[in-house]
Amino acid sequence: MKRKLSKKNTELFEPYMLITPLLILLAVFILYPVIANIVMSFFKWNGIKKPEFIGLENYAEMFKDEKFWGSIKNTGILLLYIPLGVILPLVVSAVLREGLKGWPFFRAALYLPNILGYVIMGSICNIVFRKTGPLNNILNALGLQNLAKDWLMSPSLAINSLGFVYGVWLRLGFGCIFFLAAMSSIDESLYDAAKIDGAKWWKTFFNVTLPSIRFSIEFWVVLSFIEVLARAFSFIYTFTNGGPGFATFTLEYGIYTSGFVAFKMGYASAWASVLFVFCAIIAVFQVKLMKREAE
Amino acid sequence: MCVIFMLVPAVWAGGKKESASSVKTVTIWDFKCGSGASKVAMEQIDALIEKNNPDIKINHVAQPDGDNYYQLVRAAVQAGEGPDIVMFHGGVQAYEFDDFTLPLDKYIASWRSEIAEDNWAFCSEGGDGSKPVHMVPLTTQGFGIYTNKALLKKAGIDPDKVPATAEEFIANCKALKAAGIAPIVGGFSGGPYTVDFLFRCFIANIYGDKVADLAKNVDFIGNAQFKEACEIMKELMSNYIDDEATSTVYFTDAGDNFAAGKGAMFIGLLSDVNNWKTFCDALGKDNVGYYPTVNFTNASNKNIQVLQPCGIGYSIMSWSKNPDAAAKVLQAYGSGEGPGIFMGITGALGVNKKADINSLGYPIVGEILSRNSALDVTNILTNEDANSNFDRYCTEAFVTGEITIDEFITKCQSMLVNARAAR
Repeated sequence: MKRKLSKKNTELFEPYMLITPLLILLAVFILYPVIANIVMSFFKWNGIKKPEFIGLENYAEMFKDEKFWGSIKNTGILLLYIPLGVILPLVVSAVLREGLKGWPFFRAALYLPNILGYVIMGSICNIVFRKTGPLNNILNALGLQNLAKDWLMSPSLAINSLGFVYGVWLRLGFGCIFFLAAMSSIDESLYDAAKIDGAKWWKTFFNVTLPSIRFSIEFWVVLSFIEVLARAFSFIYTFTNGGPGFATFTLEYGIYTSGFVAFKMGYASAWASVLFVFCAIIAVFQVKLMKREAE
Repeated sequence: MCVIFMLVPAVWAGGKKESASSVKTVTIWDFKCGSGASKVAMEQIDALIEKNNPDIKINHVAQPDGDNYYQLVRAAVQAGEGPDIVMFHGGVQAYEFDDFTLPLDKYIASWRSEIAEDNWAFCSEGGDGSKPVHMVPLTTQGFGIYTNKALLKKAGIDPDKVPATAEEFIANCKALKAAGIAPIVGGFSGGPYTVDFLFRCFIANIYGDKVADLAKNVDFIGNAQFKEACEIMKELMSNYIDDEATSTVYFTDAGDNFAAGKGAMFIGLLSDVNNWKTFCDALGKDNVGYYPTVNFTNASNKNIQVLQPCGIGYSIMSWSKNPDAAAKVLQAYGSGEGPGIFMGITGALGVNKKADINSLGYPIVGEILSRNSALDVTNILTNEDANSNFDRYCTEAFVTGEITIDEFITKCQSMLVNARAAR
């Protein structure tokens, strides 16, 4: 009896023991920083002296700060590039799936930005997009002088260049790999049936491919939101440094500036709390998606 | 036998420890010693210190410049340990660390008179001179307009005459443009430094010794000359500042273009880059002229030089186990041969009165330092405004044209409000 009880206890606690290390890591590196950030947002702290409790002052200052609202606007502009960042890898994947001469080359070329990382790509893009950079040199050589702009010193061109490069081009490679993997799970008989029915490429794409990988598309959209909201800083820092002026100054960039240029840690934490709310909303969508898929 | 073998290393180690403790290692963090002329100068000064002080060994650690540097220093402060000596920019970036740096009055007493009291006051706790000194200033930092005399002559302009008014300055720019010469070479990639630096010169010209009062009760808003300065900047940007061939960050290529004779004027620095030494070496010592500012018609501070009493300096951290040795290192950098070596190699202007400027062989240096000076406006601003927001406002107003002059003045005024709230 005692042996049976002990075995039952072990079976009861075993799952918890197995996930405990992960829970500890999650608690230390995810939960604690989130809670600490929210707590810090109620303090005034320059990173070296004793923090001073100031209640909601950081939030009051933030909501009056032009830079905060400007950063929300800029982040919103970047989010508008998500549809293109979904459609383009989808279409390219569908084309690549058909078989393309030199496919390994295209695959490598498309995926290269992912290997190099955002900091290096930001630095490279900064050089490419300069007034006297390779992009304008190529445009001038092709006789397209009127398209050779000062990409990084015009506010509208800078934010849209950032949106296109970061939201669409940089993620094209990984997007293709992601959707190709999703498409590989589609039953070939569906395509055979479509062929027999005389469906052309586009009809097959819209009526067979897209519905079959719907979950993957939705997941990619959610990932895209997270990438724009919370992973763009390193690219922006090296590409435009948040400028010209405040043209590419996003919410994430504002957190960095407040915390590590102004050394107003509490104020930066208030900004980060707002970003946390946005990301939490996205995370809720993601969980709902995954639950629906599981059902 | 085994006991002897075990004891020998212990005795040897003990002996070694005893001789090692007589040499004190002084660790310095700074953002200048990693490369360029500063590296060469500091290596020489360090070697001199070690030669004159055999009991001191210097561990000079190059740290990245910019935001990263102060993040590293803050991390060290939070850990309560780190280097013995830390380099700071003069002003608010140093004052934030006053609680963590040693008062230096007793260490500098023997050579204090070699540096003006204004410089020491700026380097004191809080910066008003009423509390102990916490930093030894190495350089003074300023901004001004370097000129290529040959190009000015080519356009029919007297190269030795500083324009008496803003109208005369603009007329010179017109004449240069008419002669096919770029009036001012500028660069805006990464930051509007040409605009930023010229504004600091303007503000010195307008406010003079009242610059410090901008942090108390003197305003930008309502000052007709400040508005005139903005309008002049707009005109210069629209017609006379040439950034066509520039592209790199920090306007270095603009300075290179000026040194290559591609423009008549350049808004440069008095520290270790894009300075009198670079341009004199490139264009000829007698071919480089200098205007400290653009003189506004009703300005009471004509030809005043904007100058930070301390561009960069060294402080001893409170956790240092070798403060006396560290103080000797500071003295070697601030007094004796050190300032002359640093100035001669880097071109950064030193603050030690005994440094023989004439021995450098550059007449322009004496000319710059002979002028009356006014405080740099960024020395009274908060960290964020001085190192980020002011440049962004300048970009919005004068490079991209997103905001009007009135909006720019309002934003500049908000920086003064921030500075007053921070005090």
